[in-house]
Formats: sequence, structure tokens, C-alpha cells
Amino acid sequence: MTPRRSGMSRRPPKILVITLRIAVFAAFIGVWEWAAKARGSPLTFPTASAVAGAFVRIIGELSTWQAVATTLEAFALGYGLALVVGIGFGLLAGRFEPVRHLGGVYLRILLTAPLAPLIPLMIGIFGIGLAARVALVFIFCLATLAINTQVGVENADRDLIEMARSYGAKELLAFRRVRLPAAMPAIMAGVRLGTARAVVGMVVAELIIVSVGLGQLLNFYRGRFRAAEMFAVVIVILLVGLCLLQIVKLLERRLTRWQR
Amino acid sequence: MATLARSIDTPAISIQDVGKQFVTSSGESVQALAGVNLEIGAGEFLSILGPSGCGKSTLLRIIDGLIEADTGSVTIAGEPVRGPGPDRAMVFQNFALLPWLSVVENIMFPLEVRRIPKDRRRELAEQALATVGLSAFAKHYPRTLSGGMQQRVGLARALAVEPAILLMDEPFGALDALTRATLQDELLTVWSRDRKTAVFVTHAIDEAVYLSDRVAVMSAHPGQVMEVVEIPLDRNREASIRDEPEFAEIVTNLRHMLHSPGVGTPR
Repeated sequence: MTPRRSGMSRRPPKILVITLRIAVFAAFIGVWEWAAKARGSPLTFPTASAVAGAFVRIIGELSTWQAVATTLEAFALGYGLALVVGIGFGLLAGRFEPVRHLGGVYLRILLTAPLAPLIPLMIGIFGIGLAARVALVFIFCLATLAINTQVGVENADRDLIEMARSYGAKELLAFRRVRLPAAMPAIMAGVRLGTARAVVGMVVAELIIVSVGLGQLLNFYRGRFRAAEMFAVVIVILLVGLCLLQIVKLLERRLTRWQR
Repeated sequence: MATLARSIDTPAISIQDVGKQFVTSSGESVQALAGVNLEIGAGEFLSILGPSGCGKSTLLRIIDGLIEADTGSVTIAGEPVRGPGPDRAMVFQNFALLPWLSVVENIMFPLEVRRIPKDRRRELAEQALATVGLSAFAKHYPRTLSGGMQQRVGLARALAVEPAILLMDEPFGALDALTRATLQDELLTVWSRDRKTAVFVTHAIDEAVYLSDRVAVMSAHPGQVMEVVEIPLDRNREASIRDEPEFAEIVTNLRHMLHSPGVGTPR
């Protein structure tokens, strides 16, 4: 067995990587500040410093955190449901051909088609409350979860399943102890990708369906031409998304430790 | 040198008129095996030697109960084979170790399947690990081990369930020549302790001759047992026996048998 590659590659020293990252970020801020000042339109294109100030302000306000909670509510419900339905379906589809054919077409559409046009349909069916937002988050990430899980289960090493059978494992045991762990890296990849899509769904829902949570906060500031605050809310949304992704990444690392 | 008595707990295998057909993805049917007859004695080390595609791996899987024969029967100690059982254990060419489990957990896996209590599992696994000399690697993961070490784990796993019969599907086929030679000797050492009935599939003539009591030579298309050759060498063999002229003679004979017309057409 070849030794792990990470022990033999020449990675640049950590201090260099960090310095580079800070430099790139500083350059970005610098360009932004200059461009905004040059544009001279503080009501629509605020400077980086203005946004920074606004960010610090809104972080301290309760209304911001209430907005985050409201937004995350739809996310939690929609994503939680998608995890159960998506991964559940994927597990069955990976194992049983008929199930695969059942959902195949629909999932592929959900995966590749632009979903924004479905929003008016969601509103028509679910109204403009929490249900509609949950439904939107759900359909944004369902296909990713289902398909990645399915492929993971399909591609489980046949040799391993044969080995399990030869030692007396029956169908359910072989599934639980071989197919499922073997599929875990693919499932977690699906969860990671699905999280990103669910975050998009949650924000779009608030911008287009009903103005609550962070989407409402965004519209609030936009209506009052408080551009700096608006940008700050966008940053909060980005940070919420990043945090969720980070949590998923950590989970992924824990569950697939044996791969590295 | 005294030979160890054949274990009375290990059974004989009787393969009678076994046939197996497969349907390829393009719809044609391939006769993998037809009219295979073979008697394997209790406590015997028998190799099944044949070219690629002759159905020897299929035959082994039929003995193990992983595949069902279309015609004929396989009986072990008089009982017909009906699926995998605790009396048989297989060692696989590509090791088939679960990458998410450590070495000792891999060995305990079949014992878990058989519902053996936890303490006893660990005991048996550690014993088996010691037999193949890998006790120090109990907590390692398969990917950190060399091919030879992984197959030792595969062998330990098969031994841990204390099977009556050992089935090996080209176990050293994925290893380099040097490792292969080392493992052949280790296998003989381990096998000699309790002399279980062993069926060893290979396409390497010298390997078959070195390890076995008898060699069943198979032809392909369809797979059949052409002849079973007795290996008259002393059972307590050492690596030096390969230098004996008698060894080379037997290998040559087998090679001629394998290259006779109709034995194996390339696929």
C-alpha cells in the first residue's frame, strides 16, 4: 500500500498561506473602498468602511438575531425533511432498480433545471407562509441529497458485499454494515452540496415569497436607502451560510475519517 | 519426519456433475461450467489450476454457496450445500477488507455476523492475528498496510471463524512475486497446524505444485476438470524443493497439460 500522499507532498508553509489570504482580502477591501468612493453614490454603493460600521451596529441589535432565527426555521424544517426523504429515497434507489426508475426523471429535473420559475407554483399551492418557504428549501436540495446517496450505494464495492455474504451476512446486515458505510463519503458529499443549495433556497424564499426574517430585514433597509445596512445584512446571510457549511464539513470529516 | 494425522473434524467435498450458465449483458449465454466432477478428500490441500476464464473462481463460489449451480450438486460431509455456511471461509484475491474498520475489527466482522459474544470475538481475532504475525498492527487501517499484510489479515479473518474448510481464490494473485513466495510458505506453516480441507484456486503452476497434495487441472469453454494430478512430494516441504528436478518435472507436465489444444481459448 502506498504511503499517504499528504506525508510526502511539499505544502507551502502555513504562515505564507495565511499572509497570502490576508493580502488578498486586504486588496479586495482596498479596491472596494476606492471603487465606492470613486462612484460617489453612497445610497446605493456604500464604501467598505461604511458597511463594516453598519455590520457592527446590526450585530448588536436583537432584531437581527430574531431575523436569523426566523430564517433558520424554514431552513431547519425544509432541510431536515429533505435529509430524511432524500437520503431515504437514495438508499432504496441505490439498492433496488425499480425505485431508481421511479424517481429518476423527476430528480434529474430538480437537479438541473432553474428552480426560480417554480416559486409562483409554490405560492399557489402553499400560500405565502412558512409552508411555502419550507417547500422551497425542500425542493432546492432534495435532488442533490437523493442522487448523491443513490450513487454512493450503487457504487459500493461488490467484492466487499460478496465477502460479507460469504461470511453469512444476510441482506439487511450487509446493507447496514457494508453498503451504508461504503456509501457514506458520497452521502456526506451530497449533504454538503445540499446545504449550499438549501441556503440559497432559504434566502430566495424570503426575497420572493414572503418578507420575513433576513429577507425582510434586507428589504427594510433597502426601502430606506440604508445601503450600508443592506450590504451588512447580505454579509450576515453569507456568514450564516458559511457557518452551516462549516458544521457539515466537520461532520463529513468525522464520518469519513477512514478515507484519508 | 512424522506427518500430522489428518483432522477428523474436517470434511470431504463431493462435486458431482456441476454445471453453470451465465447470461452476459449482450444477452448471450455462456456455459461457464459443464459436467464438473471432483472429489476432495478430508484434510486434503487441493489446487484448482486453470487458465483465466475457465470457471475455477465460479466453481469455488459454488462450493462456498455464494453461487448456485444450475445442474449437479456439491455435498460437504454428505450434506448438500445450500448457501454460505459457518463450515467454510474464503480468502479473496483483492483482500476484501472493509476500509472503515481497523485490522482487528475486520477480523471480528464475520464473528459479529455469527453473533459470537464480544469477549470471545476479541479473543479469537487476536489469536488469529498472532498466527499471521500481525499483532502489532491490530489498530491499523487497511490502507496503511502493504498488499502482503492485507492478505495476511484476510487469512487471519478466515481462520478466526474456525472453519472446517478453507477456500482461497487466487489469494496471492494481486501480490508481487517476492511477497507471494513468502506468503506461500506462511500459508503452508499455518495450514500444517491443523490440516483443514483446503481448496486453492490459481493459474500459477508452480504455486499449485508447491502447496498441494493434488492438483485438479481445468480446461475452459466450458469449464471442466480435465485431470487430477497427485503431487508425490514430501508433505513437509520447504522452499528448497523448488530446486529439485522432480519439482520442475511436475511443473512441466502440468504446463503441457494446460497448453494442449482446447484447454483455454483466449477471451
